[in-house]
Amino acid sequence: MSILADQVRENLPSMREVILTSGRDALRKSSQDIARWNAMLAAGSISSKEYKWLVNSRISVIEMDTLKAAGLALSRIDEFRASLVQSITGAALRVVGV
Amino acid sequence: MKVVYRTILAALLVWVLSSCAPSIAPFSQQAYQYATELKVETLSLMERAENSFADNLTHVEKLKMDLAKAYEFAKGRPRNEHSARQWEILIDPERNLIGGFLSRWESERQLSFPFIQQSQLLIADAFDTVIGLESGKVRFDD
Repeated sequence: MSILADQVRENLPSMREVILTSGRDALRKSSQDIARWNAMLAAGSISSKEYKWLVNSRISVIEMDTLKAAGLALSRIDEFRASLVQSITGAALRVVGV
Repeated sequence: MKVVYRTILAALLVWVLSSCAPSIAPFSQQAYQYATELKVETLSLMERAENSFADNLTHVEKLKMDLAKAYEFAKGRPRNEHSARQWEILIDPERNLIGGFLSRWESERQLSFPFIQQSQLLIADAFDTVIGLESGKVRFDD
């Protein structure tokens, strides 16, 4: 049980971090982009149609970023499972004295 | 006796854990290469969108073909739904990434420099999500 507890303690924060970092980055980038596009629209560098297109484009990138975070979390679960198998096998072999 | 039970229990646990299929496809060098090369190819072609679409038709067709190959490769790999879905969004002509950019270029004939520049930043970010997911997958040699 202590092996399991150690593994959870070690791996859970990294899974959580993957998802939180991704969300934080997406928010920061989106607000920077919107501010820049507002200024460009006001200056007449881009049209309102182009502005709308760019906003929808940012939304698509957020969707792709969410898929990345979800995929990476699954990958961390696989790593967690593999390291758990390794730890239990090692402990079992030590118990039987191999 | 207690040691024997514990050993059997541990062996069973290992068997159960190791017999589970991985949740997501492992890292693929080929997929990583597709994404990094196509990012460069795409951003480079976008530079030309200030000029007429008709003059760049051959380049556009080649890029579309290369993007479709990368998507098919991702779609064909088992447990690779996240990456395949990313490619789908990226190349969809109805959405607002490279697929939509090429459609817009075709319908408008040529695009403005500020719009191209802003779209390049977004499409570079979109490719980075594909590359980031692929490079974060478990590698066989780990």
